[in-house]
Amino acid sequence: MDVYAISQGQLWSFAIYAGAVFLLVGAMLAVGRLAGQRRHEKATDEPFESGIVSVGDARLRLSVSYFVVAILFVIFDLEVIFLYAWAVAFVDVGLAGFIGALVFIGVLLAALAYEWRVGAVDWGPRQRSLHEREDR
Amino acid sequence: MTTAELAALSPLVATALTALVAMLLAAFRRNHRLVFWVCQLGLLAALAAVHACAPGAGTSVVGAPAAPLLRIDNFFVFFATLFLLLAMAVAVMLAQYFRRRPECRDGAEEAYILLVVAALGALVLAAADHFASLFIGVELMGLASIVLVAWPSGAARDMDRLQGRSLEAGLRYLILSAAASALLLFGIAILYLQSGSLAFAAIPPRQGDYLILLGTGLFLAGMAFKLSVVPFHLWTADVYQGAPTPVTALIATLTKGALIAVLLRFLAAMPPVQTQAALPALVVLASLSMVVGNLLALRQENIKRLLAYSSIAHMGYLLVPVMAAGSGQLSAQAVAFYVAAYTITTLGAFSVVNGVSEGAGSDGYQVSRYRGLLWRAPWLGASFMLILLSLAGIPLTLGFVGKFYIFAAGADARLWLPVAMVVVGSVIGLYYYLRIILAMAQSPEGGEETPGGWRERWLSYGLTALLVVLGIYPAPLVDWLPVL
Repeated sequence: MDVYAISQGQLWSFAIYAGAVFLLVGAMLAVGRLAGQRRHEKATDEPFESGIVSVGDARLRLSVSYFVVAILFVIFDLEVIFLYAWAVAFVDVGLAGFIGALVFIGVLLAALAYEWRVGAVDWGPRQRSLHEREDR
Repeated sequence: MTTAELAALSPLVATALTALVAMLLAAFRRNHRLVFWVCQLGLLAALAAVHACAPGAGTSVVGAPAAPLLRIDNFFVFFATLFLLLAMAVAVMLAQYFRRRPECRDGAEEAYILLVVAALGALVLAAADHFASLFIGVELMGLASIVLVAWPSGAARDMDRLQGRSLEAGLRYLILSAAASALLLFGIAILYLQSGSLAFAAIPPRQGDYLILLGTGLFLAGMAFKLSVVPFHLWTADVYQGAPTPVTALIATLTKGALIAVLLRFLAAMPPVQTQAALPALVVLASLSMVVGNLLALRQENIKRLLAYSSIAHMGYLLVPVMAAGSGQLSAQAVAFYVAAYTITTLGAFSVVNGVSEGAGSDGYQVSRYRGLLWRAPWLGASFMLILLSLAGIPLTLGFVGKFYIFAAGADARLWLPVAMVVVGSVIGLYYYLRIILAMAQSPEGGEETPGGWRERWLSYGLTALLVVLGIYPAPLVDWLPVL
């Protein structure tokens, strides 16, 4: 299989396309700069969207536990992708593949048990008694 | 999967099981002493498995025979033994660190678990003969050490200056590791485009193929980032300074050693035409590292930054036998010996730093703290002196024999420019190692008392004894060196 020869043939169309992209963007910027009017008023540098001046601050404060749960979700979601690959090849890989997948799921289960025990999936601040707080 | 494959895999399985068992223990029964011993015993079991299941002189492979994922051979046995012993020593250093800084002990169990995971990554790299296993190994090792670098910032409540620094170091390490991984992956993808296989040996021996050259270049750049070779070295000093000292020892020895091992296997497996094409880049990287690393170390007042720049220079020395990979068996032996010598010496250096500087606030790392150490704590001072002499490559230490091997391998492959650079670098290096020894020999007035008894120091003494004994009589180590 000679991939190199194939890519050689398609290279030209790709190069022309890339060149056209740069040309178009460059032309748009240049025309705007040459033909546009230049003024600097009080409201020029203010950010706006669809003609409406922005309201409030973008830096919202979110609860930290939200991030922990969100990240845990993403991690376990990603691991499921590997199981899809196993599901597609289920018949071909046979018993060995089944044992492999069992090991994989077992490790995930152990990780879930660990996260549950250390309190990573607890929502909100942990309630501690005054006695416990003095201990720390 | 056959029983032979399972037996060959047993060291990796034992290490992974150790991490898993320790994690479940940490979940249900938090006790950092218990987890420490479980991790040590698990690593010991993995060490036993390496030697019990090692194929005598032959090779067994895991994965498809034509393009194996892992290659369990002599080379693996040597490096796996080294990495497992290294991880055990770092665990001891971590225990000492937590004794010195009790405020970081919150969640100490996870530190040991992450250490075992990093060791698992290194074992994978020692056996990797395929880009897939290479990437898994690199990421296992890298991600575990990123968390460890930022350790002090997560454990205690109040922010002091050391904590902010370790957080910064962790973030920096994370971002640069990600950038390096991106380079690595892009290089691997381009090589895959040209070969249609992820095995190291499958790269086609075509001369003048620019895509292969580009892929190899990107791959080497990613590796150079992770190895902190000049000009990809800018993160090194800050990360070394911010990380807890045992973790600094870990990233200075385990990470570097494992990456060098896999780089050597990669260059040896590539067709000679491609290795020759990559040679000029490697020569430039190595020469720059040796000169720039040593020059930057000259004016450092912080002992960890100084050791960081010194490690950059040592990576430059190590690249000399690595680039001779295609030209004979001497290269693999020189690399194995130098990695072992560098590991023992650097571990010793950081174990002394761990004992003297850790827990003494943010200016504990200044060289001035070592003033008069030879008078205040003669044994500790003497071992630090021997360790520094070994780093400089003075005869009767392990470092000298290592340098000798590098000269032999470089001369064997006719790499005259890098060999000359090794000489230049060593001469510059002598200055700053001797500067610390001079500070240690000055009168102790004004210096602070060095705490700690045998319990804190036996590791430093043991490593020093090892490097002197093997420096005088290196035959046991030499007999054991692997061939590739």
